Amino acid sequence: MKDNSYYLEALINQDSKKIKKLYEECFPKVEKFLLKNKGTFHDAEDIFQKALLQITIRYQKEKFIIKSNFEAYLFTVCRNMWRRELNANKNWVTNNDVVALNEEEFNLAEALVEQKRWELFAEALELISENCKKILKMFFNRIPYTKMVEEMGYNSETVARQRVFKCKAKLTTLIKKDKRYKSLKEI
Amino acid sequence: MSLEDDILIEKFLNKTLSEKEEEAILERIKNENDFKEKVIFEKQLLETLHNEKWNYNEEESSIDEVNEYVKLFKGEKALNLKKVLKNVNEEYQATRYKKTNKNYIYVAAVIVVLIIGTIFINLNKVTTDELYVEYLQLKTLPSLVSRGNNDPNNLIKAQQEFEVKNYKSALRLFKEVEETKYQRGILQVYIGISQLELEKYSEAEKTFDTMITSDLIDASKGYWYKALISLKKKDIKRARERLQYIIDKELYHHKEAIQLLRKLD
Repeated sequence: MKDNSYYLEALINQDSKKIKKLYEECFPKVEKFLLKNKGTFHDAEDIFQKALLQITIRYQKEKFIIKSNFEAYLFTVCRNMWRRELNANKNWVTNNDVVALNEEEFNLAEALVEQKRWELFAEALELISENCKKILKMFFNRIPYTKMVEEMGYNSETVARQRVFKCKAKLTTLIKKDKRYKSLKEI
Repeated sequence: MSLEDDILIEKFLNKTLSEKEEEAILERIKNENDFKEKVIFEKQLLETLHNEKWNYNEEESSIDEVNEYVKLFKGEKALNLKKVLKNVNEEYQATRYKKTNKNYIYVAAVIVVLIIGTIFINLNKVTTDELYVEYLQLKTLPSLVSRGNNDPNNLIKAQQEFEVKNYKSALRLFKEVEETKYQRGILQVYIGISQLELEKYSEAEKTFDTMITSDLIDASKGYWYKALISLKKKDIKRARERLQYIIDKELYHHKEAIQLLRKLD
């Protein structure tokens, strides 16, 4: 089994042969995901290339460690990047200035920082209690409080709100005390 | 942060505050740094951990790290890597379908067995028809009519007839235009498609063959349309061969050819 630095090094060294192997192993899954989520074959090609570029540039700067396997990590980067593009396209329709503001490299750099922020937030969410995780997932996905009350068996919406508030405070503490947060903070 | 502030920020981000309340919160964001930071953090939480929504900053970010990455993305290494990735991708996509094609012989043997059942034939019919319509992409065909007044008389009428799918009349008018020695590859495409839609397959083949051997700038488009002729005729074997040729030679629409070939699997 290849260790996670195998492909990272291949990307850094621009090793076409190994990168092609990576395409063979990972591209079909990404393509399938995009085709199921409003994307096209061309989008899959574009996102896959951008994701590889993002991972390489990040590795070039900070030699980060991938905690899952490389293939799973690459898929997550592609998925997050695709959601970002879908969202960006919505903005492009309504705001022409946004297009002008966002040159390609700037977009790639922002996507990279957002990916790092996503990793930090998602890891912190895994560290809190199951109960908190459940209610926060509902909250972040904008499930109405009335439904939360039903689902979690609370007495009232006020109780649900207080619970969300407390769980969010725990999550916030975990995120803010992580040393990675400082560089991802947006002032 | 107090529960009251938390609720206020949540309503602000969900855009459910009244105009007056929103003005008040914007004022606080402007004047209270701590409060501003809380709003930004809450926004990041909501956008980052939402299952579907993903963050897209509308304003230029002030994170130093973003600017550092911008420099790296603009650097020589990134530019070289982009080229490498582009080349690898093209090579991979091409070989991917070559492999599929080799496997086709075996798949074909299975199909021969299946073909005995009429169900398969019917299913295949529907699929190739749908693919033909999808890849013909009539809506994206460049218009024949230009902005100037130099177009032959019948051209506007012909284009209109074509657009309302009155191919018989369109074809007649296109032919009249062709006789005026109006030389544009796209006219041949319109003629060929009209013949194809009228199921005059051999005429369509001839039109695109003429196009291929011409010195028109659009000449190689003929290969693509010839593949579509085979598709419309449900001649999958020939369609595959023609698509493979487009891929191998990297002709017009070779990426679409890869896609279409895959869908024919």
